[in-house]
Amino acid sequence: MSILAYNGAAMIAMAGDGCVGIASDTRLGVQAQTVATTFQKVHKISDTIFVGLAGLGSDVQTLSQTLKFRKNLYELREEREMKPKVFSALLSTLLYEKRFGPYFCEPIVAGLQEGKPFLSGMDLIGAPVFTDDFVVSGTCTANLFGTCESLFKPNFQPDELFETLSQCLLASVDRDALSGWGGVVHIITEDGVRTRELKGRQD
Amino acid sequence: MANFLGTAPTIGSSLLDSHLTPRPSFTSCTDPSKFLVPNVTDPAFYCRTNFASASGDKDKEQVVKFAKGTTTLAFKFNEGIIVSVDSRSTMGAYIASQTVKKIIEINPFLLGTMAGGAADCSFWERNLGMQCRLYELRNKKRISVASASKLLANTMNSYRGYGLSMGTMVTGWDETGPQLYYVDNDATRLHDNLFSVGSGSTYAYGVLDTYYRPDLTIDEAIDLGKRAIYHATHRDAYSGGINNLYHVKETGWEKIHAIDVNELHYEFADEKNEMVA
Amino acid sequence: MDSIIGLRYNGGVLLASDTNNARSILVYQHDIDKISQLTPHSMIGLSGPNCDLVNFSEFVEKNLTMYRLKNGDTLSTSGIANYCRSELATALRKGPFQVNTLLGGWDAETKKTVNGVEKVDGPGVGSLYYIDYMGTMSPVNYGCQGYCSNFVLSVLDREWHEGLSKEEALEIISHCEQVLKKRFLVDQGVFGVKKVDKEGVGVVRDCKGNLENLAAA
Repeated sequence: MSILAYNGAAMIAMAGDGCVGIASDTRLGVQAQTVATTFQKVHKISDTIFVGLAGLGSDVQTLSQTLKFRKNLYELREEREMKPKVFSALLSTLLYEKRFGPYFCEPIVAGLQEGKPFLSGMDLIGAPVFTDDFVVSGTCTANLFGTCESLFKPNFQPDELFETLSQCLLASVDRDALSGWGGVVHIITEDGVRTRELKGRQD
Repeated sequence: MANFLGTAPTIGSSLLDSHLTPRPSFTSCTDPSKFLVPNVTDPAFYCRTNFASASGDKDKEQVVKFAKGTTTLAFKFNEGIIVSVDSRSTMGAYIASQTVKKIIEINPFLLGTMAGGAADCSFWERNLGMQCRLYELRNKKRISVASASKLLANTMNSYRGYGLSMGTMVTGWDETGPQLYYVDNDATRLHDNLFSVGSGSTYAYGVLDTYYRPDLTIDEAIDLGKRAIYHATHRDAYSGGINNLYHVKETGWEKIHAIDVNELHYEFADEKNEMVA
Repeated sequence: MDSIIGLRYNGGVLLASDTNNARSILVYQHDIDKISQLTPHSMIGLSGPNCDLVNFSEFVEKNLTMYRLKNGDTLSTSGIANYCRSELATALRKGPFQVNTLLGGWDAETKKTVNGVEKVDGPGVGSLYYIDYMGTMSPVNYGCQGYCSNFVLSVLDREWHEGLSKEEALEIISHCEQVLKKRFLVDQGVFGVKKVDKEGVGVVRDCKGNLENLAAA
């Protein structure tokens, strides 16, 4: 089994009209065994940047801590807020720094930049892709792409975005053995962040 | 997964370009000993290296993979036997189905459970049903559970090493009362009061062993069977879906319920909350 | 083949572990202690090869002592957990510590976030952390390390509930032991049990199976 699928994960970031959302499951497993059902894989970097880290649990936690540290350092040095695009570049270089001994993590970034959605995803050594609809990562990307392709429409309002993200995530993890056991959705708007927990199947 | 068409090796011939002439599959279905095998020097070796093996991810090197991953259990108590199973079928991490019937009704007095390869279990237990019916017609009486399970074990024995994947419990009520046997693809055949089979079986055993007593009431026994499956589905990624539960009595088996295990989760969570409050 | 089991109860945490020191097919000792006290109010249960087990617990314990001497205060349980996690994660890519751990601790604050929920317990709060050898950390209400998890996680799921008393928690551990005795191929022998609560870390049942006076402990 791949190291990337050792702990299990499913996550989506999706763009809306002046808003952006990111959702993930909450399972921490050791292959077939579910160890915890409250594991956080989406991390708040700032009011306008969220990062979802799918992959090896240890690296998920190490990376989230490193990223928060590097973002704080940047803001102290530069005396300005970090933009999602900059954050995505930072994450990409951070991953490539470990080219020959990578973090086993495939991240997605969701942010708001000048009121417009920013989405990016990358592989475990930092090859970025930028999209303007949605980006997915985890152990059931095939399922996630399927649900997102069918349910996504441009210019969702925050409430529609929440509903779509939730339905896409829940439908996908219900066909994946290694992810699920609950979920969490963050909707990022200019007015603030709304976080809601999803009641997912517990098997 | 490719269609079986009654004969396993047809998969091999179409996928692997070997030169087999498939014969009509009717005879092979009625008589297990006439099953078509690959035309090679060591057919058992050929099958187990190209098709699936017993359990877990042991088939990862093989060309043809099968659906598996299960929790099933059965236990004998003073009022008969409880047979309780989940309903998930997986192919790797993909959940192929959440509505599999893993309890096979062989006849009104015999039940079989499915764990391991879905096709192997359903085919050979259907085959067992046929053999049991033939026995009834020949001998004018129902077959004992001991004999039925032995027929299945004999079939498994004749295909040892071919890579069949089957972990089953054969239960029923015969002249000697309620009986419970475990039969697997190695032709292991065990007789006991309590078995659990599948990837989630260890979790089920945990709950089952802690709360099992022979003098459980019927309601208590049903509850125990239900809970053991729920706890297994919660922890084991490859088990889940619906809990199907049967009660085997002197008058034959009776289907008790089919409940979504997710509903059980919240039912049991509420129970705990009430306990604290 | 080590087994570590841990669970939170009202006002504390219990950790239980087998006491076998084994390698390959040989059991060297039947009475080793795999639960080390780190600070007066925290303990860590470890599973893995004896060398890593001793090395890691001593390393953490000495560093926590140094922290106390430098800063005049001990780390909180979550602080200790994060410290252990980062040490394991760093070690992972340069000759890892092969230790899977459960960390139990007690903190005086009456308000504390456990598993994302704010809990208010009367007699302080016990918290338990699952940390594996890679540095994957998760706060849990109950957990297991080792093969035993396959058998006892379902028992813990079934029996654990919020506000458990220490006696109820001990009962759950004894159920876990019974299941392992019956179903696990490897004889786990005697389980040592320790608790941490307001009074600090204490032995409930020592490595030779002697029960301490429950009222006194």
